[in-house]
Amino acid sequence: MGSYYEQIIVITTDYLGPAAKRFVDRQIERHLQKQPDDLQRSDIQSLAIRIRSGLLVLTHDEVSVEEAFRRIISVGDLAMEPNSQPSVIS
Amino acid sequence: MDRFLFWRRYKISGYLIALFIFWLVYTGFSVMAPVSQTLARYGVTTAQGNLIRATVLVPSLIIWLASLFAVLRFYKYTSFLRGSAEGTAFKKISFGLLMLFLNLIIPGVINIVASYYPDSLVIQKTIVILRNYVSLVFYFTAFWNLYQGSTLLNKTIETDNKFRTVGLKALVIFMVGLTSAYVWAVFHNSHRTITENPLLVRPTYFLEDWLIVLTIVIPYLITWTVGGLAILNIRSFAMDVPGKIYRRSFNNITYGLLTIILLGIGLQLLTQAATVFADSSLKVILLLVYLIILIMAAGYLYLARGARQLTDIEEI
Repeated sequence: MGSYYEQIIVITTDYLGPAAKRFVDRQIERHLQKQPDDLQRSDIQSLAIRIRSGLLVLTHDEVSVEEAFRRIISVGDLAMEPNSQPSVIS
Repeated sequence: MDRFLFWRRYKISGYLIALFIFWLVYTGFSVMAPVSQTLARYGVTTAQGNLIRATVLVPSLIIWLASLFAVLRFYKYTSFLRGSAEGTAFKKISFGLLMLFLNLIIPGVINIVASYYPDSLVIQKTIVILRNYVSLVFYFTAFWNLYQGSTLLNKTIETDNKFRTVGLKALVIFMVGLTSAYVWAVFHNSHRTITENPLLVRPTYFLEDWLIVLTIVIPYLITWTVGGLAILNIRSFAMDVPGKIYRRSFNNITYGLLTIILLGIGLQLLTQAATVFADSSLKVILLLVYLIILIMAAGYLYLARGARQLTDIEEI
């Protein structure tokens, strides 16, 4: 399994194809004020929310957007330590 | 609004306004030109002739604007792709579209010169030959760039070779049919080299048969084959590119490009059928012109819509 960043790119590619990497990079740089390589597990929820907002502007297909959101969130969940609490999604 | 976005938007509208001003000048020259003998052939008066010109010129403006809008949208989208794998591909596609846009305008402008010299056989002949070659060069350059761009685009993803194999077979059959129809149409066109009164019914080429074959028929067949290959590539990319949201946006581009390429081929084929239309009523010809303009404008608008949607992905 690759880094969080790589996993998120793989998921986002299923929705945005060749534009996925550029899209995710922009969300990380503009909204998290970070470089993509510095992405941490604690950033995933914020990033997932940003990506969901972005996708909702691009499409009315809410099912696909929610599916993308859940998959991105799960990247953080899967990587959690066994004893840690799952993050709460508002 | 972001300053950069405003600048870009201003630039697009600036180009569109410039085109509108150019169209006004073009329309002025077109309306002031003496009514051609071709229109006189249909028993049309000067006033009626001007009315007919207006009914063709106004839809022409729509298709010019739609085409330029699509080209600018494409260039704008391409500007976001600098350094990416698809960047060069979209640059070539944008250039191909620019050539198609110029092909909508330049041959028409060349034609206007002829309308000011309705009694000069030398000028009529020169203009017909020049317009035919200019159009051929624009079409070939456009289709070649669309083909190259779409080939590069396919190299950025894994494509299903099954579709390409079936597509290539279909293209070969299509080209055999098209070649037969084209050669038949050219050599059954009694107006291809000369007519009884070239000032009344302009010959299609004003060229000897061997020159028609070498410099018109063969280059057009090559151009259409290249166009067909571009269609295959674009369809193949649209089917195999990952990303359901991206694919939906790209589908608009696919439909737009398919319409424009196929209509381009159809239009070129129609010009060869001059014999058929020489005896048609003005209503039939105008109806056909309006129909072509309408479908072409729709193709360009689809293209512009697809490019806008892809640009949206890059702007969020």
